Amino acid sequence: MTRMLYVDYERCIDCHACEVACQREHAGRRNMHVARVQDRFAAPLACRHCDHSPCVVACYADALTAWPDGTVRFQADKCTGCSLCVVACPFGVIVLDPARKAVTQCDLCLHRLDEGRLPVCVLTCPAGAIHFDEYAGYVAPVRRRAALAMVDALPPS
Amino acid sequence: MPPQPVPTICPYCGVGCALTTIVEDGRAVGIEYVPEHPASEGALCPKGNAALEVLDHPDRLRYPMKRTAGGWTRISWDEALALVADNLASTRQEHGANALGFLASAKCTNEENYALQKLARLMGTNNVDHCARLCHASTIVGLSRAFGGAAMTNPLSDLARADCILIIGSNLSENHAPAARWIWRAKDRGARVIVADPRFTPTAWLADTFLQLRPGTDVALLNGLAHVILREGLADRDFIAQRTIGFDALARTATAYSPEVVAAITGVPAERILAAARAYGRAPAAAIVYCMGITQHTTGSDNVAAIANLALICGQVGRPGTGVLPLRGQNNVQGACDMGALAEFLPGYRRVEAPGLTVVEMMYAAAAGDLRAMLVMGENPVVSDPNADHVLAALEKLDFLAVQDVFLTETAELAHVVLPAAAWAEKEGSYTSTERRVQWSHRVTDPAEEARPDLWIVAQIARRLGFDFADDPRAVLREINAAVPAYAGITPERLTEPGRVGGLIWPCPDPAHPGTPILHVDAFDNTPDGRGHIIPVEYRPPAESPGDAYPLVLTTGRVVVHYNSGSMSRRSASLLAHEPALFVEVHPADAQRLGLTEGAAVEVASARGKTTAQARITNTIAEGWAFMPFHFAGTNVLTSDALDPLARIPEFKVAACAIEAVPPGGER
Repeated sequence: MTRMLYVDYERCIDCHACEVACQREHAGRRNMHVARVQDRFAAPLACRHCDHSPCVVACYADALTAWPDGTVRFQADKCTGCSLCVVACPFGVIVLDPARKAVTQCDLCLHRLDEGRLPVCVLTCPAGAIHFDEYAGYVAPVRRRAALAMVDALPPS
Repeated sequence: MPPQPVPTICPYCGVGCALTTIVEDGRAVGIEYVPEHPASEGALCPKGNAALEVLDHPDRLRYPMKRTAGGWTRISWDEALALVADNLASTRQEHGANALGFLASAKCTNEENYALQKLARLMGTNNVDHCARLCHASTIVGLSRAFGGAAMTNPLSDLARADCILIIGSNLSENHAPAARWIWRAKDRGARVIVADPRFTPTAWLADTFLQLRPGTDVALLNGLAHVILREGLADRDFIAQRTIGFDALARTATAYSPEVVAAITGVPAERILAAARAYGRAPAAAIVYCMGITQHTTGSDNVAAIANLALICGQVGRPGTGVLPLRGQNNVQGACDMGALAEFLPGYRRVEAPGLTVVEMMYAAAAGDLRAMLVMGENPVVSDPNADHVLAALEKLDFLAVQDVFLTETAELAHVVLPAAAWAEKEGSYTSTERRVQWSHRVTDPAEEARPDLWIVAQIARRLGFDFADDPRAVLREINAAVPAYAGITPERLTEPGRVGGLIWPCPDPAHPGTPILHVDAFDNTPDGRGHIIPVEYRPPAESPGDAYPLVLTTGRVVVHYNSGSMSRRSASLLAHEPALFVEVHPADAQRLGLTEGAAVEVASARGKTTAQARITNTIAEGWAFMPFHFAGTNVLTSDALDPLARIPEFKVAACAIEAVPPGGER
């Protein structure tokens, strides 16, 4: 199974640590974006590495390509800066980096994974909301929590 | 040379997160996380992630300077140190030792604070204090009386073992963010979380029960919880009988605080008071977390006592998952207090016979001409103190002001001599986190140009005044080991031994002692009778109430991407980008009545002054209230310097204010 970035949205406390860490790790280019909703909820959003990626379809220069390991990877030297991928992305997490006339998107900190280190957003998240795991590993505690909430709602025995 | 990892401690809040700073060719180039750290598990908030940005900032002070008619003039260290020593000596000669004032710093190491308070005392004055006065003086008074110890009773990770967590007056999601991970872990086990705050903060997002109380009504709420707990038989009678005194008086006091009465005072619905009291009272292990929403009131000491009462009557002290956890704001505010950088305490909380002037009192004494010369180490009272216009006028009146800092702060701008200090990664020493965890932070790089560690600066001044001061932090820590019994076993050798992560937690009375994460297990060792003292307190309203001229209640606090007076965070581009300017939160109904639109410029005024801010319209606060973060220079122009009679902490959290729209084009 492939390990992916999972976000436990309920846990996000809108602290922006993932954003600042991502920006630091990527020489000022930020690939994580926390969106706050009605002062009640916030969600860290990054590239979902979709299986059928609208950005890959939109990219005529083959700068964004789908890899067999399930990642969507970006090659800056092929990017024309046309921004079609920015428009195509349903999550709004591909952004134009005006400094180098190219886009920027979450690379899962592949340079760190190669060295056996986790992505910085996972390590830094104070609330423990961001996970890098296989699907089964991620959902097991989430399901347990959902079950606990049901028990909690039962009348006392 | 390849990049090297250096173990360091985050320079921001009191959680005490460790981070590994990566150094290459003499420059700090990166951060690595420390998942084995016991307080944070490697997590860092946004501020910690931006900690390197202050190091080679262009605004850094790089040379000693003196103020002349033509502006700032670069001078040599010799001249600068002689100027400071001579002025301190001549002021003492002409006006007496109590004409001197010293401000220590919760951002500096234990060794630096120990040295500065020692210098003050050797000069013959107890006029030494620091910003703990502005954040947790109430904790020192309240918890010393109740428990015999002014510190967190249990470590942060213990929150994961609680069955109920009451968070009151703390926005830990923004200000002590890694604490949130332990609370989520408690919730994974089914724990109930109660959050009491005038604002629906991101901390309230963690709550099962949210209590939106009016600013300054904490005693009423806490007494109301005690009322329900006693009425419903949820108190721990055995614990009360065996380990406390003073219960009967509290039982009498609490009778008046029925949920209905408390609802009328606090604005919290009675059924929520019942739910919260039952959750806390029935939990096998329950913890209370609080912060400056409790302490920064004229009733701050009473608020803390009311919290301690709740823990004592429910027997929630001395076990895993229980306790009272005051979250300290700065990386070394606990340590600066432990080191005796306070007007009434010597190192180790030994009381002085004649307490000196506190932070706020020094400003009044300066304004009156009684305090003539000050040495300020890494504090920025012009921004951090209440009634800022008064502080500014007071400091301008001094015969002599010397400031040691990393940047030319608003306070340093008023100085006669500015001494450039080494930043956090440019020096070494120990820091004590909010958990009483003493940790060593290693030196990463050389100081910027001629900047020097504060310990070196204080030692040099002291030597010029005829005192033999060490400037090696290890030597000073050995002196602390001898002077402070709780630190006796926290030796430099142990703190710096390779592989030690998480330091040592005081009390640690000898070099073989493992440290003491949980206090008061079998007895309250430092109260006169070994018991916990229940101190009944009555609700008193805040010093200032809204009226015709100032109809809104202003409360203040922090945002996640800024830190205290902002001298570091406002210079970190990656932080400033998220919150670039001062704002004021207002409720939609008030905004409509006042004709305010989102983002519009407004003027906020109190009886003490006025400032401009951007309107932020939100229903996270109630109608009639307003909120401003205190990281920008305008906020404390408005706040009140009315003091708690015991703790002498100012009431930052309640001020009457008025808000007006500024028409487009600015001036009216």
